[in-house]
Amino acid sequence: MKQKLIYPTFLVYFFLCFGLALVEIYKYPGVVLKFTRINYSYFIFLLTLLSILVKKPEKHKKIFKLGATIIILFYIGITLVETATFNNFVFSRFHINLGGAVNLVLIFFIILAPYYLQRKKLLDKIALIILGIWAVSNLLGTFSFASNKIVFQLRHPHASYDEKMRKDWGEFYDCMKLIQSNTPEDSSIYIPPQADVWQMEGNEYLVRFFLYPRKIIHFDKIIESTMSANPKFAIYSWGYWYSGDRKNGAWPFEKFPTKQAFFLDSKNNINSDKPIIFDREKMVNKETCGIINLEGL
Amino acid sequence: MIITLSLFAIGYVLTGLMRVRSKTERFGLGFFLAFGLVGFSLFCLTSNGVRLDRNIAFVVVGLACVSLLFSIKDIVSVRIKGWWWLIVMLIGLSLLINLYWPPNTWDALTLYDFRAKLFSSGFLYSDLYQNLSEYNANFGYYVNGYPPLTSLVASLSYLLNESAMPLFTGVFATFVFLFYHFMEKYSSKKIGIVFTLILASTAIIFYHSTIFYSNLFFSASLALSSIYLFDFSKTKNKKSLLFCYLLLILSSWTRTTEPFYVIIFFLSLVVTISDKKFLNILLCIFLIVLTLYSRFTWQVYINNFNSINKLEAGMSPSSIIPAKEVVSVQIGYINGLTQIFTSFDSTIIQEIIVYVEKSLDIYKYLLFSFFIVSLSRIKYSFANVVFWFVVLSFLIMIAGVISFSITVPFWEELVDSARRMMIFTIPCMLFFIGTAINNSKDDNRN
Repeated sequence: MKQKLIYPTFLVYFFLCFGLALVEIYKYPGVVLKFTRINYSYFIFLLTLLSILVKKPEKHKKIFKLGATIIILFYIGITLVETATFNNFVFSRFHINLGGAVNLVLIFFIILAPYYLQRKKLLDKIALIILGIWAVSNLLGTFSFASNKIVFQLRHPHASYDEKMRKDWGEFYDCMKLIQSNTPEDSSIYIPPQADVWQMEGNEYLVRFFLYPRKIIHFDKIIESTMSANPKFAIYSWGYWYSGDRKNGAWPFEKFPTKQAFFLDSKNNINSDKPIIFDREKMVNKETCGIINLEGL
Repeated sequence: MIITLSLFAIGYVLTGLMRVRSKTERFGLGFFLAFGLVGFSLFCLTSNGVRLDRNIAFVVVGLACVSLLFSIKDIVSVRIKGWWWLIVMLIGLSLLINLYWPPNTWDALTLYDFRAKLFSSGFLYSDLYQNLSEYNANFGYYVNGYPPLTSLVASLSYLLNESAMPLFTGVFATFVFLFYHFMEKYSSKKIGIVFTLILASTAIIFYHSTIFYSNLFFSASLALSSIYLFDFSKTKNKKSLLFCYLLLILSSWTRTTEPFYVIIFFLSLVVTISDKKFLNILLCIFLIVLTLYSRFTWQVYINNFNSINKLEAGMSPSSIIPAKEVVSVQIGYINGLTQIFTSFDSTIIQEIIVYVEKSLDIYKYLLFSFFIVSLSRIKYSFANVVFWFVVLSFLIMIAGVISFSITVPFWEELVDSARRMMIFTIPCMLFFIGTAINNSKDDNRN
């Protein structure tokens, strides 16, 4: 009697894990931990052990393989839809969390793997299945990464260098192009300290790549002896980093009049080439990036 | 693409001259050796006042064309069968991505790619320093902070007006070929192909085959170095020991701060001394000295270079680091560790554990699998060089984290760096698991 109950009990647990995976897909990864105080990966670990220890009928192998095929095709499909649209499209439209969908694939892998490892010792089976879980997660991650890149390439086969760089660097790249187009190559450019929301425009090595051979100087590191007759500029920036303190508003924090300045507004449009008096208070929240001519200061 | 193919061709002939028999090994190892030979030659040129130009790139391509004459027969006889198609697809995907995308990741723009472009526009090291340091002394110092191997070879691609990115597909492909060669040798064709597929599809490794960073070349060289040492421990073939150290030197010329090379020193000495063959011990000591010389050549060169140029830039003598203090860079690690016993604050234990957990999050299942396999075969594991290489590497990593927690104020932000630093353990653990499961007969208990 006990023997007859083991496999059905295992199946119940399998469906429990499958159901919890669906919950994580519908809600978010980590929801199981929030409500059960047990990390979902511990459910998977127990499923792995049970899958190895419980003898599964050979006749059910085909059913599991069919399930695995459907789930894999489902995962490939939603990944391609996500890469063809935008990040989070699948969740926003169908309420399917891509990260959680990986667990569905893993569950079927865990069920099927012991069928192919029957001659192995117990510890080897455990080690290989855990390795397999790691390998399958990696394969899905690689597929997701590669498809993201390849789909963009297929949709934009003739993209320019600027378009490719903009895809990864976003508005920061536009900011650098603005500065590049509106400063002479022998000029000196002041940049903010690399702190808070200015992690990119404050990184002298990063900015140098886009603006070389212009001299890049941290505003707090001005050395009087290096101030030459070369035109001097300062980056104006609201800050492109995703986190950090913005309580002082855009950089530079000082207010001073200038002969000329160019800015990108919040829609990434360049303002006209008319000389503008740089009035910081009028610009906060309107412009994201600019270049201010400091000549004559 | 032309430079990548040239390195394949040159390397194939080079390994033929070194009497390497296996085609897979020749394709794999040859690329690495050609990469190193070309890179080192370019370093000698640029540090002796010779500016890189297109003629130098043509010389490399010319050498490749000559090499092709001797290797074309072998190349066209290659047949792809069965599961190899999946691996070739992955390599093809990497190449497709690299042919389209320019270098666009952070460190590539700040250092590796930027340096390659400067070299290709005729810059020497002295130019790098002087031109970049005029307003900020850190620029020159930063650009020479890492050895130039990958940047120099990439500069050849720019001289031919092509993208440097296919070089990294080349590194990825040859890494995979060489890994398969040893997996097949020490397990079976089936396990070899499965584990090679696992390696090729590992997310962090595939990702690094599409970016201009030094981590993939460094990790591949170091991992293959340990696998060649394993091969030497089994076959006692001196060539394997030589290749182990050549790859170790290449890893040192890619990234110099990581101290894992000392494990290879230690393990190779243990293997050769336990063999009790005097010639092998002498060879091992000679190779250790050669590796140390190559490491210090770079560090002494660049520290002297920085010192001289700081003097010329008018910086005060107190800011100059004398060349003799180069050795202290290595001793600094030991100093950092001894500080643990004098100033270690137990309250940061938890922070260190969290840091190590975060850094190793992508490795945890593989590590778990590795330890289960090794604990189920104690005798086999303890006699396995690759097992000890992995274990000692993680111990050094943890010791390094403890040392950093005392010496570097922003150490907690370096999780991603630590993660990338340990990539080389992935092929080593896969190799150990694949060969142990297939081979070991002792201690194979439930």
